Amino acid sequence: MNRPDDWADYLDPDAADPSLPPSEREALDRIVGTLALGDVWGEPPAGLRASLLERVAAESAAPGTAPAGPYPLTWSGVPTGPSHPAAPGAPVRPPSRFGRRGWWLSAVGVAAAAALVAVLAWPQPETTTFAMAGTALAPAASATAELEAKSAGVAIVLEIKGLKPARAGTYYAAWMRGPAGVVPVGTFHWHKGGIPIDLWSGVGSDTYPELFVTLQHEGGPPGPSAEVVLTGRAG
Amino acid sequence: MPRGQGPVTEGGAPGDAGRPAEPSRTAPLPREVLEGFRSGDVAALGAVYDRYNRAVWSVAMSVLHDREMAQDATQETFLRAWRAAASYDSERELAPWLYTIARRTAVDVHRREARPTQGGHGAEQDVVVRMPGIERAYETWEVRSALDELPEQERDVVRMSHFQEMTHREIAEALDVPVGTVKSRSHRAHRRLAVRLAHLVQGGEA
Repeated sequence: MNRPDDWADYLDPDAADPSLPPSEREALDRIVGTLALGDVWGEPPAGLRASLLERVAAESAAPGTAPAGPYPLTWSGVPTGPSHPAAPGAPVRPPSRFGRRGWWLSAVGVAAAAALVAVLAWPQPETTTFAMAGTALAPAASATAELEAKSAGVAIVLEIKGLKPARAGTYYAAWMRGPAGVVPVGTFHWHKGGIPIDLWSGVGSDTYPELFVTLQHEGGPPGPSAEVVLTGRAG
Repeated sequence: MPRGQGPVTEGGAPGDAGRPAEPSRTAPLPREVLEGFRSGDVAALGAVYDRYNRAVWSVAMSVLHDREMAQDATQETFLRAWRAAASYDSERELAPWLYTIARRTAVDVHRREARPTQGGHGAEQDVVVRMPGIERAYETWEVRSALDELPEQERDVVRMSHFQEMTHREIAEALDVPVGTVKSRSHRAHRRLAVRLAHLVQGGEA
């Protein structure tokens, strides 16, 4: 029996079903099930890489935070980050009974004040919405861009109207621009149309306020082409 | 543990005669990149991200089933890996080490972000958090890694066949190629997957 060939036939939905032991069929069924899931076909947003590297660069630039040595590993062997042990040598004295009560009352007061401050100052989701207009290359196109700050970057949703699907060999790319330069935030073809486009940016609209979409050609240079089809600006 | 073996190389097949094989998207990382990563080099981290982001993403999605949490988990996986890079032995494969971090990070994100509450203003109640995808995380990593090692044309056929549930004839029409070409690509792709994933079928026996 040539197992890889038989297994290949079993995995291939359009091939003849070979005779296999139940244990192998069960294992192959699990693989087929996994192949049918979106989990193994999706990709992280294009901007996540830039967001990660930006965060790492900032962390390595900050004194004392570069990965100069291995961080402590948890029991599971997974690093958790730098530990912050208490300063050595500090005298430790058991509090008196009055002192404990006083500490407790103080703690309650501090906690209440902190809770009040937290309620008043709890950050609302930072969402910025603005309109994008079609350029002379796509005069019928328009879009609404919604930018929402997340812990790992900025989630961008484009609601586009009137834009033609990208021709074969081309695709659309979205970019954010600011005084410091241009950052890619994602690509799409717009073949289906009518569905919101999810993009991701590692930079915010405060420093990169301009959002624009270009028509790119496969195999072309990595930067934005001159074929701008949509443009808009936050604020 | 994940086996970071390289792409399976086999001869061409009828139907694609004369067409050069496309490169896989997962060439092994050069030693200098691994050593750069170990020493905390940001550019090397970028190369590691390029090589493994899809597998990490797949594990995160299989555990979390949520794009936003998967984004957090993917970024945090690489951040944790970079912070702990000095503990990585560059003589060994990176994949098993990174998979462990990815899986653990996804679990941590799930515990942090998806802990169920009682709703309303009631106190949050600690309950056992179910993660139905966790037992499939390893299989997801392996399948995704195997898919990434396929040439793009073959990967497209597998995706259309399994994920989009298209027949060979429908794939041929969509790609504007003869059905025989789709069949040969499909067989070649599934054979590569069978060889690459043999350890999931029968403990590495092929």
